Amino acid sequence: MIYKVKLQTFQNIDYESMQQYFAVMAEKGWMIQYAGAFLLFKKQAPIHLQFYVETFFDRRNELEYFDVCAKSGWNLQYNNKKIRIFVSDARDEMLPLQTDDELLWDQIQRHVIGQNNVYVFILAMITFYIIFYWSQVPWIYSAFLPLFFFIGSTWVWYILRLLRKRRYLHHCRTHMKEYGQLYSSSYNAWRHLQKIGNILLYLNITYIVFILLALPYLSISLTSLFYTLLPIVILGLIGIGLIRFFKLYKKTVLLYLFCLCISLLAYLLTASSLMPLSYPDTPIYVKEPLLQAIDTRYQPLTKDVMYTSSYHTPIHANLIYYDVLAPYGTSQTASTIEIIYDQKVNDEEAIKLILQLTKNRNDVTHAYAADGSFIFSTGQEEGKKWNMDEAFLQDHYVILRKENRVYQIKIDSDEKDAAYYISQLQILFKENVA
Amino acid sequence: MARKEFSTLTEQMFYILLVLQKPHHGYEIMQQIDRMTLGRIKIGAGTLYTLLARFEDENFITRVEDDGRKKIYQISQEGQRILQLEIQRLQAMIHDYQKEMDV
Repeated sequence: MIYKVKLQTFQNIDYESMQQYFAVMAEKGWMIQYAGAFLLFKKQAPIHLQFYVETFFDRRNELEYFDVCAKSGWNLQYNNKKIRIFVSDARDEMLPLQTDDELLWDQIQRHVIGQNNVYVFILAMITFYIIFYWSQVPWIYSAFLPLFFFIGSTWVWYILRLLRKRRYLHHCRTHMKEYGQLYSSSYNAWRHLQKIGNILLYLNITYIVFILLALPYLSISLTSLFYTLLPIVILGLIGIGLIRFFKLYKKTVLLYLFCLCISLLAYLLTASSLMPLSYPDTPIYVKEPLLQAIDTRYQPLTKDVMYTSSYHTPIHANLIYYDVLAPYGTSQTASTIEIIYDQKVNDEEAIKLILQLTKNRNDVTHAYAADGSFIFSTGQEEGKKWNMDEAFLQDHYVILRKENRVYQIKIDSDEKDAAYYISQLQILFKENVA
Repeated sequence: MARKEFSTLTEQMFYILLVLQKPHHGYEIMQQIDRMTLGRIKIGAGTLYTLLARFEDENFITRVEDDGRKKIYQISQEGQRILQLEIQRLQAMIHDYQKEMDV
C-alpha cells in the first residue's frame, strides 16, 4: 500500500475547499484516510467521487446520524472531534448534508468564537513566562534566542490564521445579510500566506524534535529542562481547566488579562522563593550595604538550580549558578556561580560572602580570589598575584580589581573537573555605576 | 434565547415539527417531508440532526423511543404551541395580502 502525506493547511472554515481538494485527489488516485495534524492519502484507482466535509457540528446522536447519512448516500470516510468527511460515488449531484445556510451560519458562529483561545492561552503563557524569565537573567538571553524565534513564528502563524478566519466571518456576515447565503470560500492568497505560516510551524516542530534528540549530547541537563518546563505545563493545564470550567471562551480580553495575571503571579512566586535574605539574623543582611545573595546556611546551593535576582530593584546583586562549557581543550563541563553585588561593599564582606558560599560544599578543596589569593573555609591566604596574561595562560579568568570591586573565585573539585566562578558581569556593573 | 431563535420558523423547521405529529425516526422524517412536499423541500441529514438537537434542547420535541442507534421523536406541547404561533403568523400574512390585494 502506498501512502502520501500532505501538509495540513486547511482551517475549519475551509470545508468547501477541502471537499474540492479531496475530490481532485481522488481523481488522481489518492483517497483521503486521515485529516488531523497532517493529511494522509492512500493510493487507489482514480475515481470520480463527491465529498462533503463537516467542521462545525454537534456530536450528539452521532451513530444514528452516520446511519442516516449512509442511507442518504453519504458514507463516512473519516471522522474525529474536529472533522467529518463523507464520500459518495453517485454520478448526479448529491443533496448536501447541510441544506440550511442560516443554520450553518449559526453553527459556525457558535464554534468559531473563542475556538483558538486555548492555543493563544498556552502561547501567551509561554511568552510571558519567557519574557519574565529573560528579564531576570538577561545575560543568558542568547540561549533563549531560538526559543524567541519559535514563539515569534508561532505567533505569526496564529495571527495569519486568525486574520483569515476573521475575514471569512466578515464575508459570511455580509453575504448572509445581503443574499441570505453563506460566503463560499475558495483557494485564495490568504490561504497561501497561511501555508507559509504552517511551514514555519512545521519548522519549529522539527526544531524542537531536533533539540530533544540532541539533548543527550548537549550540556543541558534534562532535570533543569524539566523544572523549567514544569511550571509552564502546570500553569497551562490550570488555565485550560479554568477556561473550561468558567466557560470563558467568549471573553477573549479577560482571558488575555488572566494570562498576564497568572504569569505575573508565577513570576512573583518564583522571585519570592528566591529571597533568602528575608531570613532574620543574617550577618550580611544586617550590614549596610546589603549583599543580595544566597545565604547558604538557610538555602544550600543546589546544582542545576537557577538562583535569580532578589526583590531589590534595580538589581544590586545576583547569584547565578549554571553550567558552562569547560575551558578550551577539556571535555568536562564546568559550572559557574556568579555574584553581582553592590560596589560599595568592602573586602571583608565580600570574603565573608565567598566563605559563606563555599563552606557548605563538600566538593570544595580550595578557591582563588580575583587578586590571586587562596580562600579556604578557614579564611583567606595570600597567593600569587596574577596579571591578565598569566591568567589567560592558566585558563583562569581573573578580572583585575580597580575602583570597582570585582571578585572571581574558582573552586576545584576532586571528583569531577568542575569549577565554580564568582565574578562580576561587566555590562551590568556599568549600569549599576551609572 | 429560544423565543428569539425560533420566533419564526424556517420551512425546514416547520415541516419537521409538522411531520413529528406522529412519532418518527430521523430518516423517516426526511422521507416524510420529501413525500409531503412532493420533493419541493429537501432537508439534508446534517441540517435535520442539528435541528432535532436544538428542538430537543428547547423541549419542542421529545424522544419516545431510544435503542441507542435509532431514536424516535414526537412533537411536544411546547412544539405544538410554537407550530400554532407560526400558523397564526402565516395566516395573518395571507390575510394581510388578501386585504391589500382585494383577493
